[in-house]
Amino acid sequence: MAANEPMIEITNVSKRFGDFEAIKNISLSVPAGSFTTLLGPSGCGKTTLMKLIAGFFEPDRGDIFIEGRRMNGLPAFKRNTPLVFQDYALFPHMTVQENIAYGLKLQKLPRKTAEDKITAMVDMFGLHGLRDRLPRALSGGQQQRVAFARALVMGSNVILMDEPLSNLDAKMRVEVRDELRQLQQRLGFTAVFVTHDQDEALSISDQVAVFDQGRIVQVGTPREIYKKPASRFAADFVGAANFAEGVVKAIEGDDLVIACGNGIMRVHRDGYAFGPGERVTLVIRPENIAVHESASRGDNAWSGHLLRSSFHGRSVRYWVAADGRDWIVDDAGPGSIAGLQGLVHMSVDKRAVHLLPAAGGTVTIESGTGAIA
Amino acid sequence: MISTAANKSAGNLKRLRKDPFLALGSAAMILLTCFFVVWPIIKVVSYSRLADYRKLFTYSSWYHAALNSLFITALSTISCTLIAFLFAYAVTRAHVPFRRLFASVALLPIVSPPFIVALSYILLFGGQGIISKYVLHVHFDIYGWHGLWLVQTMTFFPYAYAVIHGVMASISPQLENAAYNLGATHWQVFRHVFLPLCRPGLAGGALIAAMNVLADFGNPIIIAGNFHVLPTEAYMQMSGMFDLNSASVLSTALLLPAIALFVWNRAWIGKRSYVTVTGKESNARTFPLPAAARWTVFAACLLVTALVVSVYGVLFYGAFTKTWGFDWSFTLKNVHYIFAKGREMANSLKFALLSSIAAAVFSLPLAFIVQRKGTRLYRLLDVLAILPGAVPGIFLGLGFAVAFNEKPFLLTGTPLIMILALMFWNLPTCYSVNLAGLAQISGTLEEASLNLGANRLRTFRRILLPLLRGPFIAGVTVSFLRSVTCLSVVIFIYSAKTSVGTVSILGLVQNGQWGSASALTAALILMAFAVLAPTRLLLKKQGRSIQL
Ligand SMILES: Nc1ncnc2c1ncn2[C@@H]1O[C@H](COP(=O)(O)OP(=O)(O)O)[C@@H](O)[C@H]1O
Ligand SMILES: [Mg+2]
Repeated sequence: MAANEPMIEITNVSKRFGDFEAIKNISLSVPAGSFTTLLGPSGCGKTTLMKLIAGFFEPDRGDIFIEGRRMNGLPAFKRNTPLVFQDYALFPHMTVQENIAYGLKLQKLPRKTAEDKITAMVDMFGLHGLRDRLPRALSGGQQQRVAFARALVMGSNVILMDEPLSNLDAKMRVEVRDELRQLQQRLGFTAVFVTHDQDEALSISDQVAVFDQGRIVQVGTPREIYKKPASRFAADFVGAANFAEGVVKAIEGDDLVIACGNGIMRVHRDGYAFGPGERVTLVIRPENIAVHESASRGDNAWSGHLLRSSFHGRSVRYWVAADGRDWIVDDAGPGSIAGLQGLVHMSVDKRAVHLLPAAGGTVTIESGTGAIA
Repeated sequence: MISTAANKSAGNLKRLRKDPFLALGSAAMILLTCFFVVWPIIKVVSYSRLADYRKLFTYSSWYHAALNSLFITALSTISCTLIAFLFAYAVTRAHVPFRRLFASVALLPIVSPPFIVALSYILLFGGQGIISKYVLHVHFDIYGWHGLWLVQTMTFFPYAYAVIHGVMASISPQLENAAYNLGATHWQVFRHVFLPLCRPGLAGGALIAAMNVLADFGNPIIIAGNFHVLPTEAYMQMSGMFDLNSASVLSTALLLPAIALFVWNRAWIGKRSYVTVTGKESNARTFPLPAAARWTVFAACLLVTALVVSVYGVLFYGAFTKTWGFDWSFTLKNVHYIFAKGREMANSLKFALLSSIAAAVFSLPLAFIVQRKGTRLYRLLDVLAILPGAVPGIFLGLGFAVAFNEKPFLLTGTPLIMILALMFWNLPTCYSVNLAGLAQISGTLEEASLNLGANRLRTFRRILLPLLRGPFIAGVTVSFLRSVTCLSVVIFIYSAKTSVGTVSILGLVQNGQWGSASALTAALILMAFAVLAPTRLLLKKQGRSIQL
């Protein structure tokens, strides 16, 4: 297979449950060897799409291709798309060994080959000494490793993972996701990964597909998704964002000059096709706003009244009232200005402002609080 | 609305066409249950003409039987519920000594033949009763409604206890502690927090007791004397004068309130399972009761326990006594009698075993179709599977007697009719156990198996079947216990060759051969325990417990 050929191709797929349309005309291409993440809030249809790929559901419309083969109508047990379940779905009456061997047995491999494959998995996931245990005698992390081993042992080119890390505690989640990424790069399989955690999605993926209510609203690299969100929803769901409405006044050199509130913002054109007179929404990440005690000169500076702050260890979050709205500002260098209060001054780099077409042309003043996963 | 309904049924049809195995399976299940459950019911109800039903209001003896049934049901339900509440309270809340003893005493009557309490009651308080004649030196007439009341209370309070205890155990003591913390007194906590939370349990327990008392045949036939109730009256009509017409009118009169209670119970309590995975019990302890209240509860439970224990004690004593009331010397002659009735005992064992296994096997695909393929057609299957639970045993027996009495479905007098009747009588038990077992198996396990390349059949065999082993065994066990001790279902359909232990005991009691009756009863109880004890152990290993 050519390197640029997609491993999984989903074209115009829809799926309804009774009157409820869970998947609305989705198309997505998963490049071979990539780590692709479906990101979205709970209930937006991520699991449903996974089940459509794995063959537990049939699409009402549209096609699913894996390695160029049309999958529609092919029963789940013939698809060879191992899935790591969110609740692991380990067979409670089988030992770790039997769980891992379950799928292999059906492949009718020579005993020695199968035995070797299982041992390789046991080695890879550090399951020595647990082979004869039943799943209920394992910790959450161990169960999860068995679930990975059971899927990987199938030797398939595709591995599906439905929120496999969500049952781990926060610290372990970060460790395992890094290991998982390394494993995927080393073995070279194509991974389709589901999560509702934006951190996880950004840190692990080659490609992220952002879901909203049964639709994919944006597909791109983690950088694109974070820096150039295609919609307010995407901006808000992937990280926190400040939104401000403005009107393009002029184009000066490389900059768009935008009237925003009582002031003027200069934003690098950077491929935006907005012209004078157009209404836009400015999207500014909290960490891209700098706060100072003294007024700063230059462009894109404004002042406001500090409302409150909260300490987050590696940063401090401030809420500042300015221009009739609240701004969220993340200051990554706390300590130096721990005593900040009263009137403060803010500024933002012109390359750190992202523009979206204004929604409905109304000037709504609102600040995103970010996705709380 | 209409279009969605049409869409859905079209969807169902499409599904069935795509899965002919499923379609054929469901059709076979529906046909069989209709044939063995619905058909007998229809036969009995339609046996008599409308004019015959009018006699219910004009014949004074029938009229009274109906009233008596309702009267004794109401009375016994109240007393059963009270005692059950007391026991459950003692076990879950009161911190009294012997709580384990109380809990197992409340289980004992369930594994016993239905009329054992009646029999012991005669041995204790009857004309030759150990207490009436030798302790109190009085003679009182025990046959009648008050005797029946006491006996029904002792027999059926355990059923109410099982429900009430289940609900009480699931109420977190923290709720009561919170109320104490807010300054409520013991009485206020009991009245305003605990009791309202128990209400569903009380209602469910009362309904279970009512259903059982209403349908019971064994106790009234032995103890009620001239106080006739519907099941005994129907039996008299049949056994005395082979008046099938009257028997069917009386049974139908019994069926209506029974179904009403059953539907009421389903609507309120829902599908309670007989087997539960033992969850973590809350280890919060309740605030101790005032001593006076605690010891009152304790004394009351002790009294009931003493009665239950004496019921069993006197039975085993009777089994080794020459002539009850006259010659108290030790004898093994009654034990020999067990062997004399070897065929009946063997039949009891054989029919109970076969019918309970058959019920469990039959209910497995039924539960699978209903639980896993939740479409409309399968609601019908669900109703059919639980329907026998609404039908009093005496009615079902009569139904089989009437429905399978002529060619081409002539089964009268055969072992097959006994097995089939018991099997379908036990169907709801096994079905609900399997249904609950399936509900506890996450659907993702099947998906995981398919995902790893196993087809449907293999998934069913390798994943579902092994995981259903616990519920299956529990279903078989409970059904076995019910069958071995069952009298009402078989009383109309046994023949000389297919008679069972319970029928023999009834004959012995009616002849006043109490020693032999005791011996046979004791043998049946031992048989029940011989099955119950190992399976309980087996299930305990799997983290399950049997609730009866
Ligand atoms: N088998 C089903 N029947 C009916 N509705 C379903 C079914 N599976 C999922 N849904 C509905 O589809 C929507 C998307 O569900 P899901 O794909 O599980 O979301 P996610 O995995 O993104 O949290 C939800 O509203 C859910 O209720
Ligand atoms: Mg999901």
